[in-house]
Amino acid sequence: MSQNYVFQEEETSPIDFGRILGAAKRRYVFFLIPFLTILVVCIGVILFLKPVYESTGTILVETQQIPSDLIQSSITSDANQRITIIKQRVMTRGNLLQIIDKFDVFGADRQRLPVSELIERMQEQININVITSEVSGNRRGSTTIAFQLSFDHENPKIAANVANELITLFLSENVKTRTARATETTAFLNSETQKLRDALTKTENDIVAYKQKYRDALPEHLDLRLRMLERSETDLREYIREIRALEEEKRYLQIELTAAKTGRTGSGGEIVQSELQENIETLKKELLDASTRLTESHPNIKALKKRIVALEQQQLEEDKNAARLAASEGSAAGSTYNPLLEKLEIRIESIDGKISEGRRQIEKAKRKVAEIEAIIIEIPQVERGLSVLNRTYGDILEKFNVLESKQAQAQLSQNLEEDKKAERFILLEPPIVPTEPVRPDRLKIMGIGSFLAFAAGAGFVVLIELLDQRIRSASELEAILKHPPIVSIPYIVTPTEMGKRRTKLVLYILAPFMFVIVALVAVHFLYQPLDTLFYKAWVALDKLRISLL
Amino acid sequence: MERIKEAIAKAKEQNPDIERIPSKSPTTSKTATIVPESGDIKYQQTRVVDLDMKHLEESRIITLDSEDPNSISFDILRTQVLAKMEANNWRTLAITSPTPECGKTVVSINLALSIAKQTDYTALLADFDLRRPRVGVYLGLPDNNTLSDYLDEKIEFNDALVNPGIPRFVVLQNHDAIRKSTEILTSPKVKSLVMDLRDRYEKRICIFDLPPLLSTDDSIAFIPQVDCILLVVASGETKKSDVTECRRQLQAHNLLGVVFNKSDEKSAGYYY
Repeated sequence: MSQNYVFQEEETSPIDFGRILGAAKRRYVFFLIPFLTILVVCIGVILFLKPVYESTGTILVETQQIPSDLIQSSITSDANQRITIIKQRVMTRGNLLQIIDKFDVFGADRQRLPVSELIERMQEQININVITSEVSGNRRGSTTIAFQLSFDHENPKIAANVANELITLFLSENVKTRTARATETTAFLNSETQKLRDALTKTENDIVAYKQKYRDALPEHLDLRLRMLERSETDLREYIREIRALEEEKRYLQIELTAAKTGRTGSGGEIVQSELQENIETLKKELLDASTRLTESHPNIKALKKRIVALEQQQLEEDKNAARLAASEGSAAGSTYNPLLEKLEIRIESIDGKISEGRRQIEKAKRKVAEIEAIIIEIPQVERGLSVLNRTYGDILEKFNVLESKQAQAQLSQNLEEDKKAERFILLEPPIVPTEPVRPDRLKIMGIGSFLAFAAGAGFVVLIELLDQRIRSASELEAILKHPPIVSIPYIVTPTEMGKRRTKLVLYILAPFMFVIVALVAVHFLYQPLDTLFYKAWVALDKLRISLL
Repeated sequence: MERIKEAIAKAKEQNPDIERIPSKSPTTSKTATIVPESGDIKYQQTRVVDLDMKHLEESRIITLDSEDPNSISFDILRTQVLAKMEANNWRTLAITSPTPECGKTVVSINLALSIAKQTDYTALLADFDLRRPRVGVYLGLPDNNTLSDYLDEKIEFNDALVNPGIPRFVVLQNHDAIRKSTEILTSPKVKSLVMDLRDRYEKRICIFDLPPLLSTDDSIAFIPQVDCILLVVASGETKKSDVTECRRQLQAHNLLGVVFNKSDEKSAGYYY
């Protein structure tokens, strides 16, 4: 009973399976019409669509073989970016047109369609699929390890040919661009280095010219100049002293000459005078000493003063005598030949000559000193100018060195490219003639089509069922009448109808058998006789059994 | 089946002058008299026509064969209808439907047969669907001496009645379409005929098979003359709006009930 109760509850649920079943039974024609229509359209589309073959070549992007620590390639852009650039360079109008004509890609369309459309179609048919590998730890960074280039065409042979051509273009374009770039880099660095070298030479010349210009005042000669100045000054002093000595001697000779003129031997008087004088001076010294210790009235000082006065008196007298004597001697000498006088005069003359010579020397030495001093003053200025030049030179030299090392690196990199030791594209898998079309994906279209057909059929049935206002069940009627009908009379099936139904059923059951038989007959007459097929199958089975054993 | 044969045999015994004629050309006896009160009915005034069971089955007349599982729903219908009619002392029942092809005639014949066979009531089935009379065709009756003949005053009323060989079952058949059917149905002659049929016997249920309610105005015109109405609604045929419309039209009359015909739902009774 409880089960019965549950069953009743189920019947009142919104999803009435009985109703759905009833609807399915009634409306199968409405289901079949859109279902079959769409299915037929789908099959038609599949048959109508031309098969498209895709030929694919895989190109490996091989990284630099020589460790990049040793040699850094001058081409550092990402491989992916480079592939894109190469793609743009390869897929130019000219290239594509050439390929179109070479392989007769579009057949009759080539003459019919405008070129721009052909190019567009061509670009659509070319596919480039970059294969990257994620680098762990780097979220954005992924390295391109390979890329696939494919070409779609209705003719598998043309597809393969064009794909091959494109890959060849790609590879050669890559080598060309890489080498060109490396060469460009080297050439640029070369020209830069040359420029710097010129600048360097110019600066060097400038320095030489400057040094030439200021060759006397070069800073490195400062010590030399100082020494020269010193020597000149010493020379000057020497000359002055010499001249003084000569003048002294001249005065002495003159005195002697005077003495000789007065007739007195200069030697005797000279000695006396000098003795007196010495005494006077000694006494004056003693007086000076004593006056520091003693008062004026001290007897010692008084005595000294008396002695000095006396001695000065004596000297004065002696001088008078000497003058008288000299006058007499002179008159005497003038009148008579005096060899001594002559000798003295000659000596004085020579000394005069020497003195004038010495003065000239002094003048000369003074000039020289002044000259050297001027040079020494100039030296710091020259040094400044020179250091500016030197700095410029140093700067240029530094730049030049850096550039030169870079140039060497670039040259190395160029060699790397030219020897194909840098990152390169290697044809991993050449495009082959495809055997299976990639499009249309018949299974997919069929699947989608079937689904669509089923959905359309079901939707149509639901729509019809919703639009149909006819009463289908006693409960519906009850809902309208507010009370149940007296009785629900089932559809009465007449024997004729029963017979028809049976016939239908038998036909439904027999139909597949009939179909199989018809198919077999068709195979027999249209494809291969059945006995041959049977024999083939038998052989195949036998083989299978043997292989299994 | 046995009972029918017995009945036919009895009829033959009682009317030895009736020749046995194969089904489609039934025999007629003009001297039959109905004696409803007695257990054994003898039709003296009514023609007795034998029925072909095969033809009945093809026409979906199944209540004669009590083995048929579908007959149980007619039994339920009969019981319910009789109960209500007895309670209200109703004698005449009009059977109609909103639209054609709902199975009015089949329900009418089956109900009448069920009443005649299983109760002590006499069932009179009158085909008042004058535009498309089908009762005679379904039962396989000969197409002479029909209601239209009576209305044209060609024959006597009693001659128009047919007894298809089943006790307590009389048919007033019609074969040809009659024009101006509405006028005829509302004519005094028909009115007096209905009254006469209703009142002639105590234990008689008169069933009128009427045309569809919404197709013509025949039914609406005739309905006031009957005691109650049975509406037949067919599964997958009748629209909900039709049912509502019929209910509205029948508001002033005694709607005995609604029969849900041609149901493709499995009835609970099927399992018993």
